[in-house]
Amino acid sequence: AEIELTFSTTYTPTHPYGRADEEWIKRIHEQTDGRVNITAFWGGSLINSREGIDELNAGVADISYIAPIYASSGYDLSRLTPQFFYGYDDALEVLEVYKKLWDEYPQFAEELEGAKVLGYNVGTPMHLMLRDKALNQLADLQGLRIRSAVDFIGALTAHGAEGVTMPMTDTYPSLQRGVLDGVIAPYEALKSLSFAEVVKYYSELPHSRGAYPSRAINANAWAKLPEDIQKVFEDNIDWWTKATFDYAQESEDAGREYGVQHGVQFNAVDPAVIAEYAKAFEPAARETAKQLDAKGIPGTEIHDKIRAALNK
Amino acid sequence: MTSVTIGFAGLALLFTVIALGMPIGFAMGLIGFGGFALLVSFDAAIVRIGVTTYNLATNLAIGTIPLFLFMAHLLFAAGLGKDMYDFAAKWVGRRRGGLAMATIGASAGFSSVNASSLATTATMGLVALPEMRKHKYNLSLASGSIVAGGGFGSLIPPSGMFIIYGILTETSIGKLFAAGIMPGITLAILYIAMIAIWCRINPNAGPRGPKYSWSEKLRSFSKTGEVIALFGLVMGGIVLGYFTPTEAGAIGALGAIIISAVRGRLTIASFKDAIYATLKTTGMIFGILFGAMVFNSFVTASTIPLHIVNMVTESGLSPMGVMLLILGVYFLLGMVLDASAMMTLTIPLFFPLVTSLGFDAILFGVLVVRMTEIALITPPVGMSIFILSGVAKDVPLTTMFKGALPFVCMDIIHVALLLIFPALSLWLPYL
Amino acid sequence: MQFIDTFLKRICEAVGVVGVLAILSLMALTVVTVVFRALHIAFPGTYSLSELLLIPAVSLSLAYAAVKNEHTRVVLLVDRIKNQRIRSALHGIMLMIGSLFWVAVAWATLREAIRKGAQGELSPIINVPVAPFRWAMAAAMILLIIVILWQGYKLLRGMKLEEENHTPEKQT
Ligand code: NA
Ligand code: NA
Repeated sequence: AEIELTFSTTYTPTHPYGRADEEWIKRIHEQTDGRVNITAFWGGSLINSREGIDELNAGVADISYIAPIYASSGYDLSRLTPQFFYGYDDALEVLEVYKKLWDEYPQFAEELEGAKVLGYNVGTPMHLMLRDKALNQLADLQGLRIRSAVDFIGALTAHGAEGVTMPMTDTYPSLQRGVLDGVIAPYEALKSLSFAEVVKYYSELPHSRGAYPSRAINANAWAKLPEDIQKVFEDNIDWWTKATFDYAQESEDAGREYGVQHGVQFNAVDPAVIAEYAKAFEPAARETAKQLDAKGIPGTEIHDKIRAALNK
Repeated sequence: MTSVTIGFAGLALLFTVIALGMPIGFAMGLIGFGGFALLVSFDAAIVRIGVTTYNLATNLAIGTIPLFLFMAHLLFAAGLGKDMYDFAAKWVGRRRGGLAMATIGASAGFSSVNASSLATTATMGLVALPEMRKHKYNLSLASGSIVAGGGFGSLIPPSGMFIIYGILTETSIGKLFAAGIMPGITLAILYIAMIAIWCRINPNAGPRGPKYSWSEKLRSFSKTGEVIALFGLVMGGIVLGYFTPTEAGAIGALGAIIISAVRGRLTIASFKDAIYATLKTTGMIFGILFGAMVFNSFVTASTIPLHIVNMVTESGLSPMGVMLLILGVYFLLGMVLDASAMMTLTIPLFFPLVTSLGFDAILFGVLVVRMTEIALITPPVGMSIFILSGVAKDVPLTTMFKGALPFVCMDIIHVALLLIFPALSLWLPYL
Repeated sequence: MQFIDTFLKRICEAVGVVGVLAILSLMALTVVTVVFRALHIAFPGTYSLSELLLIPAVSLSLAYAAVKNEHTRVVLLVDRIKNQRIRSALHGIMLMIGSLFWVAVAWATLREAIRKGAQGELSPIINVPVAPFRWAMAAAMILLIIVILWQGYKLLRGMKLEEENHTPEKQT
């Protein structure tokens, strides 16, 4: 082909994100009449780190799955604003609010200057998977040891639970043997990470994941593309975002179904409890917003806009 | 030059500089870095190398190795390794190769408390190798049985490799764990048979020990109490959920400190020796791991593995033909790639193919894990061999590779058995 | 000459103490976490702290192993070179060329230390700045390079490496 590009992701072609990627690669090939050929590296074989965005900027791959939310520093807006979406449960609404922020604040694109974003992810909410007992009241969190992302640890601590940031590979044996009492994860993890085998209860207390730029092309590689090819890529941004969400939703449903088959008990949590829990996220979110303010980024303004939009 | 040409040139250059005596870790790192820079760009290579080495230096799963090493050095200093092998010598030492067989058994037992083949090899290397040497065992047989036994680390649950496979393919981790048990036992039997054959052909490889009376045999139990207690502590702690297999290294090291103190063998000098020896062996092992990780990136970027995988996908062979081809590919890739790189590189592409041809996902998992274990002990890049050489500096690598070869033959027979009798793997998980 | 030898050895021994302390702390931290867990005392941040401790443990161990001349290499072919001078020189050259890998690692580590330090990278939960640990890793790499180059130079000059304990192709 006229243009050869590499694509790297930590996922596999059978994972929902990977399925969207594989289809996107085919679409680009077709829509450019075969002028663009993309070689994919799956499973994190080329770029495997949470610093994927750094590696993309340096040109380790031309196009890559990125997750600035997992970066250890830098990319402040992309990394930290997902925290501001606490308590929501409608992913598509979150996405809409998030995309508006990108239009309104050029800072989002500017901090990713080494790359051009080609797609966004929005996470469906994660919930609480537990070994021994379902959660109905926040008091039920007392004394539990729960594997969690850093963002949720403050809220867990506020209700007397211990948040643990254990590596994913240690989580299954820990749940199996009771080193952990639970994990915060989405429905699909019941199947994809085999959690249905080691937890009995799935309590639907939402933990937001927000939205973030998830696919991008290295800025130099982008600049080298002819304009008509660039247009094809740009025309597919919404498609890639939507396909990723649709496949993810499909796999959420399959994960729940798998959980049902394995005898996992699902329980809805009282909306009043959910609202009460969401409050525990606010202090940390406001603190983060202030830190952004201090760096000259309108953190508090963005936080308030997000809260206003979601509470409508 | 195409990427593939650069890839092969890099491999050729690697073998050349290794043959000229460049330390293996340095050689893999240098060629990996240079090759990646040539294939992608200098800037990309610098960022890749920075991220890879930092990730390795903060990787807790691999970081368990220094603590297992510390445990083993302490056990050695306290004379526990000696007591264990004296015990083995009394019970099975009369049999030719008996201590090598005992090493296989001990490796399998140790594997039930840790998740990594490399940690198993390092620990058993420190404990078992000096003892087998003392009993005049052939160094090839001794080191071969240690590196082969190390493979149980990933086959017998808990297993890091099964977890990675389970996550990559969304296959039940619990079933994979269960599937590893029977193949683990059959493999141990095959290895022991191989040792018996080896010693029949060459009786000096594992010479007969003296004969002991029953009372002597029974009395030797008394000295194994601490080892059994330590094993029970670690095993019990994992099963009862007090700690994870990753944490077991630290608990084991503490247990070893306590035991050597109780035995009155823990002097300041012996403690210092053990901890500095740990630092030194850690440095040797990570020196190679750093290079290997960087080299993996180069091989990946060369697209050689991708081309091979595509060849298999488009081969149009019968299902069994495809499976055999895949196993062959793993054997070849395993010669130069590290186990986890092999998995992340090929599984995403092979897995959909294999399952669409009607093979069971769990069976394939067992086969793949077996192939990654073989990769650890085949030349020229055999991580387990390098690890053992890290803890047994004076045994030449060539002696170790020679010693591993008969075990690799057994591995091939074993993989064939697993393929012919899927029930070996699938009986337990589907029970 | 002797002065450089002694100087390097002293530094690596000092560094070795730090590495040893890191490994011991790693053990102690894990044990304390496990005990606290059994007593239902929350001790979050263990994983973050362990990752940080692992950095000096691993990177300093590299320098320490190097000063003890513990490199894994294949000597099957080079040991057939009968001339001791040539054999030693070849060993020295290979060490010096190979050290370029560690130069690249040191460079990459330095770059990241500077960049991430400027971004104010913090270890999650415990909020400890990561920069000093990245600098420590870079320093360990530089020390490693100096040791290797010095050994290479000595070999080129036909001098013996003191702690060389490799016995070539000896079979029992
Ligand atoms: Na194991
Ligand atoms: Na190999």
